[in-house]
Amino acid sequence: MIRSSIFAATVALCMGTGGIANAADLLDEIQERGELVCGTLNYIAGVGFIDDKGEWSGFDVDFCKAAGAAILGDAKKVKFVALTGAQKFPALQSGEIDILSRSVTETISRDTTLGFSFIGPNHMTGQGFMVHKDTGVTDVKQLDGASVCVLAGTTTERYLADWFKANGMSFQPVAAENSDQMYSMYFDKRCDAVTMEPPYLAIRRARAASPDDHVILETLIAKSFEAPVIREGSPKFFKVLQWMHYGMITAEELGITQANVDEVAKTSKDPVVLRFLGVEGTIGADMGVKNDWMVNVIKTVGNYGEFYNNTLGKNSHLQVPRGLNALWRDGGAMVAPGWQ
Amino acid sequence: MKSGPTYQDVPGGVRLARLFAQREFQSQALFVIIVVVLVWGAIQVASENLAESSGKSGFAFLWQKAAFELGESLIPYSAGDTYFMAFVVGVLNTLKVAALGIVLSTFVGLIIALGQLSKSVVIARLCRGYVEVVRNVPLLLQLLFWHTFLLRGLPTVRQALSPVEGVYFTNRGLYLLSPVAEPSFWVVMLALLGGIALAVGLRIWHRKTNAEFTLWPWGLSIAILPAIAAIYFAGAPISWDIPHLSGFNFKGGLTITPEFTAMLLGLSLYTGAFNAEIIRAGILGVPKGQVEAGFSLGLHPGQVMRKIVLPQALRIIIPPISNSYLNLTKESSLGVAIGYPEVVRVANITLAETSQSLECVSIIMLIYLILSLITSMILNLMNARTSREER
Amino acid sequence: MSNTIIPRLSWWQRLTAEFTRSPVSVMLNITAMLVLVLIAIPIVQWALIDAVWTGDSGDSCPPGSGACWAFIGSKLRLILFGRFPYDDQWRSLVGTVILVALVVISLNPIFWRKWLLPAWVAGLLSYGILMWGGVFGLSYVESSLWGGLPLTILLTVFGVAFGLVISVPLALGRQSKLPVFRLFSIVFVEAVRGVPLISVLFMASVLLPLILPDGFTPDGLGRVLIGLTLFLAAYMAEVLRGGLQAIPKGQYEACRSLGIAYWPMMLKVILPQAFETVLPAMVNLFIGALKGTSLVVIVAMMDLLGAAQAALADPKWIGFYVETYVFAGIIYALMCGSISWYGRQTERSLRDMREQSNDR
Repeated sequence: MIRSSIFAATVALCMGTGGIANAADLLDEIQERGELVCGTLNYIAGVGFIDDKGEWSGFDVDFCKAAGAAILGDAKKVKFVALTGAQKFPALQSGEIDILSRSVTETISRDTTLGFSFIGPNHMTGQGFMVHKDTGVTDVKQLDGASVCVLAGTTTERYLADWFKANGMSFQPVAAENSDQMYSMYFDKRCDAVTMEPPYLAIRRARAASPDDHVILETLIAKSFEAPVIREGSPKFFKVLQWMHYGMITAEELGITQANVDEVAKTSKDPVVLRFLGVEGTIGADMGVKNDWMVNVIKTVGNYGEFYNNTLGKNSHLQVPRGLNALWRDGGAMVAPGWQ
Repeated sequence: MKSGPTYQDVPGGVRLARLFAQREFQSQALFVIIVVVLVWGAIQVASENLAESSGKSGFAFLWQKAAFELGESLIPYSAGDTYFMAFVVGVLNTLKVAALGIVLSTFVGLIIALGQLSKSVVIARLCRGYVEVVRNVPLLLQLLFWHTFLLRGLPTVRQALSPVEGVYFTNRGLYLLSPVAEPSFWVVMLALLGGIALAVGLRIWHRKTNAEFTLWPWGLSIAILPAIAAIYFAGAPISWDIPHLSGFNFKGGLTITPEFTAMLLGLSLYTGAFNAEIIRAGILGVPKGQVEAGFSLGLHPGQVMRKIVLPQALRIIIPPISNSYLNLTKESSLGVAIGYPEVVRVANITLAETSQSLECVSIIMLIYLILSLITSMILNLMNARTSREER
Repeated sequence: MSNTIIPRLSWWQRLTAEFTRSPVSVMLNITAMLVLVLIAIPIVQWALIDAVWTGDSGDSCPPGSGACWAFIGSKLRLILFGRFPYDDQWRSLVGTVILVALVVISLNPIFWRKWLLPAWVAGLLSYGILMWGGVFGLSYVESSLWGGLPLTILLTVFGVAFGLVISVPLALGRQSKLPVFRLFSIVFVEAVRGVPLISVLFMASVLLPLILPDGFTPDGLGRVLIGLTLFLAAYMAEVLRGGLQAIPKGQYEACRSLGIAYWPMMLKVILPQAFETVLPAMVNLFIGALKGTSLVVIVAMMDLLGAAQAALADPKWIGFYVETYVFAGIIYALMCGSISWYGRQTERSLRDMREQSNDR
């Protein structure tokens, strides 16, 4: 009796998994589940961080909170999962997480061979170096023969090797498992230079015992456009996230902020704004979310400018300038198609 | 509950029919079915999950170019070589640290064991304390400690500590002068080999003829004279590659990275504490009557040690210590935490780059299984040899 | 019986006495003492005399001063409890104390009584309520926030407990006459023992979600626990097999002639004796498990070592590595040391118990 029921359960388990292959769009699944699972990182303040009280914050984290607000109408319905560099892609592939928002650099090989879809990119930066001032290095080309600290398993590691090879230079790699280890090795002079995206370098330099002893070189050896990632095969989910990203940029263009969004929705006469906020038309409902989804997003994290400034930019303790992440009309690279 | 008649009791013709009716057979068959179904289910789910994200699978990625450098390598390797080569480098680095760790941990174990048995109470207590502390702190913590200690405790490259010319201690590694073969190296080697052959010939002749002269001065001179002559005519066979500061780092010579040193220190000191206990137990395991008998036969203490104590102690020591060596080899996988490029670390980077997690994890497991099998085979052989010495 | 310990050094002492006449021995003692003092002075200087005990940022510990215990002081609760919600950390503390008390009791065969099972049920229930919350007005705390020392203890205790449960069929399977069970046990035990713990943890954290159907995948803690359990089960099965082999054949025969069937025989007669025989080895495995849990750092869990590393990332305090590692090391050493002390204690009381019953 017991045996046969175990067997039946086993078979049922296997049969049940057969159904998952032709599962519906992830968007429907998330709404049914009532929870969005977001893979991120938990140790870099401003990017992805849990404080002593268990509160998640940062740029990558806030993107997921916004997505929760857009899809489920509540940023609190997002569950965060901290992932190491090696865990991030398997976690996404296995379906353990719905979105991977962990400063992943978009590249052609990741986009085309791993079966992922990138949203955005929502954070544009490049790969640079920070060096000890006493090495006298002022330009990347002087780094021939240097020891360079690099984060293992990241695109920076790949670009670093590619760039030195392309320029006929050599270097000693000193790879670290996590960024704390990498920077502590750099500050202990285990290496002459450390390579990373300049905003993160700036964060660490600001925290150093004597920030003036370190120089962030101006030249970037590669661009690094970071983007949240989802699995391929959920077009509705992808569209919602992609347009949420565009929507945050559009909100900044339209001057809609966290503070005035309700006000604007009530008083605006601009048909674009009214459509955008879901007062008129059915853009949201057609996509499979609520019509006022962008209102929820903006209430949660603000428009793109606020989103950036509150986590990385001038309202945060990191003070990273917007640079490429400014709107196109302010000389940056953040663009969004029209909301018609 | 009575179990049915067993397989052997039944006459041949009825055997098969009876077999299926047996409890034993049923339970085993059911178990096999459950395992097969579970494994099949797991494969189905995995392939669906992978298909959903159209991830590639299979081991073809091993022949693609790896885009990462590895800090140290016994064979030439650089970014752009295949992932397969990267794994080879990883395995070699694992073997390097494991082999040296085994030797060093044995020394540490021997010293601490003898110290514990010492008549000096202070030494005995000191060694006991060492064992108690080191055994009870996780190895990972010790590795992190040694790594940090080496990075912060040693001077930077520019303030390198140089006790003797050509040896530099820095927090980027220990730089040593290393021998380099000159063109004359092979000439001298050939001359040396020839000399040794002549000396062997001389010895055989000496044995045969029972010639009346002391063998060793003649033999020795015949053996080394050709080599000396070769050095005189062809020049020095080796030169020293002396590390020198050039640009950012020391160039030339032999480099021992702090990651490797931390691994070696951590593994040897940790495993050494376990080995000390094993060796102590081995020495104490020799019955005291044996030693007393040895003394009463008029043997020197040295002879007692060599002929009576050691062979018996070794028999007790070898099985557990071989286990301890296996543990050391497996624990070298913790190098991943401090950036020593052993095989788990290579797999870790490869996994992050290709995201072929199934393949990478199975490669690690396979490699360690093979290493364990080989090690236990070698140690079994050794064990067989020592036990054969007992009549 | 109890005086077997005394003569064990004697032949060695005889040998060393042959090697070292007394002046040499005196010299040795003096040299050792000197070395000890030379090592101890700088350590005491660093750890006690020059140490900084109070302060609220890295500035209070200028370079050149001794150990910065002020850092440990200000980060104590983060190191000990990880990211468990600050105001509820007492729950994690009380729960862990209950758990440890249960283990301490269960390790001693004197307490192997009928009430132990209900005690465990009640203990585990209150442990679960305290850790998870969500009832009786306690706020819900998800398991990804559990950390620090309670996580280390949780992983150790449950890893060992579940490992023990799985090790029994594995050990019996290895001795079984049925080839399928024997083969499976051998392959499982040898394969797991052949690979490092880190690769098993890696497999559990990366591969489990891939091979389990969606919705059945346990969370991070559950996965690590599965990996740890399977790993420990293999080692325990091997130890238990040793215990089973030590049981005289006559016991089995006696059971059979009394008409006792396989499972009752195993559960009531054979296994209790086997467990008693292998208690010292099991205690060692327990210590190994406790140390092994530190590896979960590598799969992004925040146990004691992970929390200690997290404390190091605070920009207000930079570079107090040695203090942190020494502190964590002392905690581990104290825990492992007390387990092995308790194990020896238990062994002794067991022996006394047996002697008494023999005298009767």
